[in-house]
Amino acid sequence: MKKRATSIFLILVMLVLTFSLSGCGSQASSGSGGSSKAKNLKIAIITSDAGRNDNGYNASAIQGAIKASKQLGVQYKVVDYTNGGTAKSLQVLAQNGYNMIFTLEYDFNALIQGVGNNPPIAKQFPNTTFVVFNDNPNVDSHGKTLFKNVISVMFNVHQASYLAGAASALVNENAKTLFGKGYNFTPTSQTRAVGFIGGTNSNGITVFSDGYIEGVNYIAQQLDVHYNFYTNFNAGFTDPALGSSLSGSFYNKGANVVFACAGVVGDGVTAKAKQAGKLAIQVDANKDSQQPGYVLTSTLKNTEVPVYKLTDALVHGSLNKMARVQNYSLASGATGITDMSTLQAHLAKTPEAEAKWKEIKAELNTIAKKINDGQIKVTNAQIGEKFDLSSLKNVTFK
Amino acid sequence: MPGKKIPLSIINSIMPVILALLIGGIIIAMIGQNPFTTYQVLFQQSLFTPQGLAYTLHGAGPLILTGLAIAITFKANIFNMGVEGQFILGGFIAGIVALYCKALPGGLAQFICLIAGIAGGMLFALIPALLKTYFRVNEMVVTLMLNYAMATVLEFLTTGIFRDNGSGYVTTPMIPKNVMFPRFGDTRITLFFVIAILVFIIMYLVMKKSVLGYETTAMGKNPAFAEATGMRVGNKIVTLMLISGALAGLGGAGYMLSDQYSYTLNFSANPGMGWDGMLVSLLGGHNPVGILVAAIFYSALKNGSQDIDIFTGVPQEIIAVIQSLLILFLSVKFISENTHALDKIRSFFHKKNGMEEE
Repeated sequence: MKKRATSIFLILVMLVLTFSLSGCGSQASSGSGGSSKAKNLKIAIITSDAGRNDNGYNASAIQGAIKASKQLGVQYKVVDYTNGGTAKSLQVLAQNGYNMIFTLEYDFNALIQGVGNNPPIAKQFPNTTFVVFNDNPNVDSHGKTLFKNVISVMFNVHQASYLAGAASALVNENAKTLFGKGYNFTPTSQTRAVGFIGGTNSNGITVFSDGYIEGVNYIAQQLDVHYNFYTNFNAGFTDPALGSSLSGSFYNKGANVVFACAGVVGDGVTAKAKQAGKLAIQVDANKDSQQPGYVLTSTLKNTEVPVYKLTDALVHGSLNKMARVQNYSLASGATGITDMSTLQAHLAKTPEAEAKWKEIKAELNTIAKKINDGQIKVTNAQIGEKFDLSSLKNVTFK
Repeated sequence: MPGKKIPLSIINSIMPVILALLIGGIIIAMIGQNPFTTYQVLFQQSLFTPQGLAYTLHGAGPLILTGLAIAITFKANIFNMGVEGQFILGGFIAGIVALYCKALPGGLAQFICLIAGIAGGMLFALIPALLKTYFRVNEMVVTLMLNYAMATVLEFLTTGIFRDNGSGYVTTPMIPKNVMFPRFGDTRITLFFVIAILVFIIMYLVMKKSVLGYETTAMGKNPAFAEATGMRVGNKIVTLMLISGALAGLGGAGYMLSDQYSYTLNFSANPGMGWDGMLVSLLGGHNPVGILVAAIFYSALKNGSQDIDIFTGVPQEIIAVIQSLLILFLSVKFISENTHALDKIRSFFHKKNGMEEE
């Protein structure tokens, strides 16, 4: 009996051995181009909790690293976020000579402040550049930069959300002209409403909703009409079914556009939009084709741009001249809204619709320009700006 | 008879591990990577470097406590599925109490926080215990459901009253530095690991040598008979649930003071420490020493998963695969216990062997 078990076990081990001979290990990947100096440079990306296959935030950053490895010749490594925090990955990567480490999760305590009785990781590895996203933890209580080797990347998503808000209101006003069969919009004669679904009530999320509703208000003010704003900030980031039921109730109340800013919860929102014959707005990456024709646009947070740009600066040695807080505005291309071409293909095939669509796009371009040259100021909750409710005369929060 | 039983229980624990690693290895090979290098990296980094070993032991601390919390109730055939909820509550309370301990000396502050966490865990475990004792409500259902209630309540408190407004994400303020358990030298180990080991020794004595431990086993084997011999089973249920809640609460509080330092919605991660504790307890056969070994092994897996990602081309999800396989193979043990399938197979082989010999 015992012998039999051992022999079976041995056979299995041999099976593994044969398998293992056919495979061979691969180390950090590196591209073909670039100088020999760049080949010795190593960058690493630690993804956020959503993981490397999120088709958005993390996946774009990895795209940036792949591009950098191909064009600049650096080596790159992708490490997934692990339960329990990024501290260990940061430390091990820095110890192993990675020159620049991008960390996409909100987890800065060990890096900036130091925990236990250990010094901050940024202090332990002064020759490694750490890049954090969406927040600037690298300041003391007086607003002075703490570590020279930490760079904070901020996206002006409030500006992009403003555009998305303006687009929502413009499309809502002209829904009858723009859309043909298969849609079921609540007519503006009945009510005007938009909705917002956020994963959690934090600055990282309210920055979207503040900008969004300001954009809606801008158009509403011009037309002298009134909008209801339905919100939920507790959807989490993982449950599409919840997104579907929440957005369903908003659509029922007369909202024609719902903006989802809650990870894969948004997938449920777009699915519901298709059922209801209305529109949804997605976030982070271009997800317009998720439910073609029912996603108005996506508010982009394109992490590829900063990853490539900072790696480029690393290779060319110009990193120290850059500001420790990098703001990516609409003009940089790292944030904005999509060109809405997916939706365009589903518009009614009438000359009126075509003309109206052109008009709307032109209007949006004008607004983008106004934001870029400062004529329109959008609240940026990300840097702690407070949102002035009384300024929104044409919107009611529900 | 006892001499025969001990090896069997060890086999019951080790076979799932070997099988899980084996199948995990086959999957790694199918990805096109070398499973031996991968496992070598996994265990070398997590067990055979001083830093890695320290990290593994540090991670094993809360797992030992949640594992013991599960074991002591499961052994008595009452099922505290609420260890997760008690764990996060303990952590949350410790994190909040710590904020008010800024002026106290470190040792005292830590002590107060741990006690607060233990109290939280105990109180929360008391609800299902009383419901079970006095109203015969199924404790498995109640404890299981209360986990979600607690997670939502704490989410509400974290996003509202106890929110750190200076932070861009949802978190309570970081606890003051004097309350954090200092690390020993260059390693990750803190005093909390020592506390976990002390508690382990106490629990070992309780489960193996004390009257309570004996009664627990008796209850687990046959509650009606235990009652008939004069044991007050109801009281025992409350006592065991309180101990279980205290262990879970202590685990959470210690995890807060030695690792997380602030309560985020991701505090216990996914699957949480309570659920990991259940796996640890099953793997260790609800036996204290088994739990200690299983906790360290499991912590090594978790710890090494990050190194796999960094040093090899294998994605760290492979560890999740191995963990799931572990659960699968552990449940096979239950099937065999309940259906005697293994015995049937064994007797089949015996017959065959016998015939060959003839």
